[in-house]
Amino acid sequence: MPTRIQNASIGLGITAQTNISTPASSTTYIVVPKLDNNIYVDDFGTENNAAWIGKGNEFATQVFPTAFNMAGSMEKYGGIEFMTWAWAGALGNIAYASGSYTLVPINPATTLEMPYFPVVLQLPEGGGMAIDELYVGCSIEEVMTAFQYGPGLQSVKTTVQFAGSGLLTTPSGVTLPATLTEHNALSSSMTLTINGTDYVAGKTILSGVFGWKNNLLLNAGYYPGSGLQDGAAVRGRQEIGVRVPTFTFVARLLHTSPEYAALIAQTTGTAACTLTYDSTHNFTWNWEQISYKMVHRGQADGIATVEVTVQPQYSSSLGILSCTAMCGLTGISA
Amino acid sequence: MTTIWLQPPANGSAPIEVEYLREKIVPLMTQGYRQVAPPVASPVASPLTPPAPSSNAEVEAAPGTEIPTPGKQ
Repeated sequence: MPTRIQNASIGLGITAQTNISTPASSTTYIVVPKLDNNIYVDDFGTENNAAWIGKGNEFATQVFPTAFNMAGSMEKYGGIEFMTWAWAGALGNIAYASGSYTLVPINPATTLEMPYFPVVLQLPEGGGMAIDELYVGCSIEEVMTAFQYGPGLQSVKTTVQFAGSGLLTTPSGVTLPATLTEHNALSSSMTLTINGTDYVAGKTILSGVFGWKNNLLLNAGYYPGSGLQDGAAVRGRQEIGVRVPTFTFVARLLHTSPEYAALIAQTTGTAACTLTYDSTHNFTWNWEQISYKMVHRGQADGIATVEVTVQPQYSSSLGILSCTAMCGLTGISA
Repeated sequence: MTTIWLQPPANGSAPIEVEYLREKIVPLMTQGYRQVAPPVASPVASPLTPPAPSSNAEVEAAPGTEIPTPGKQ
């Protein structure tokens, strides 16, 4: 009997693993629904001898396992809890007190490895489990939160891409909790100040994207001695590569719009954006130093706009980005 | 005042207690400090308070027998 993908439960481990191959002795999972149709699989790679010379023909006669490679993604609306988990995993240095998280990118002078967390996928079918898998040693490759004008949940979306070590436990042996009650923020709740301009007070902001990409060195994770599973390689590390922050926004163009002049003058400042569900569920991005990299002009609904690509900069004292988040979720760890 | 404990990135350095304010912890976290659990205070006997008698307080070690010390292998 077939099964619908809506039956799938995805459990995200919020407790950091001891190391890439060892989940914490007690892992807390959250189960959150998502929007995309990506059903995960731990890809089992193979290669063959088709091209080899001296075996009489050009066809494969032998197949060899290469490596396991797990890549997952999630697209969701603006749930504060998921946003906190995603940005915490993407940035990597996490502090928590009194219901509030502070998230900062890891210092590469300290470590190159991101926090590892387990992911569970369960898909029931016909009284059994079509899928019941535990992906060990996942870390976040990229997170993006996009906001736009308009009503409803679609006004804020967060997408995450993550990579796993390839280590797989099946059946997972995990009893997932009930689906998390999420607190979804709408873009209508936003406060936004960029380079000294309050874009909400001016009623000019239309859309924007905040992102962080770790460019994980995934091939380097298969180092000599990294480990094997069923004769195929698994990763023993997942290190950050050249990290890339993303920050763009679109605002209405006014005769007082400062963006083009700020681009020419290379004016530097800060940027702060907060999305709020309520007083105990909110998320703030603090870009510690920014200037403008590119300013283009366009339109939305026939109204002239300015499209800005921001250049986040590294402040010697505060770094490049810090996020603060409040939510009822405790235990997100690095 | 809410505080947290941050472990300096240098190996072996003792964690420090920091007020949980963005302007105080972000510069440290940017340098690589990481939050750790508060250190457990080691019990220090007060010279003014004699230790409470325990049920085996009268047990004495036999001559030549070493009394086990916590943490000693």
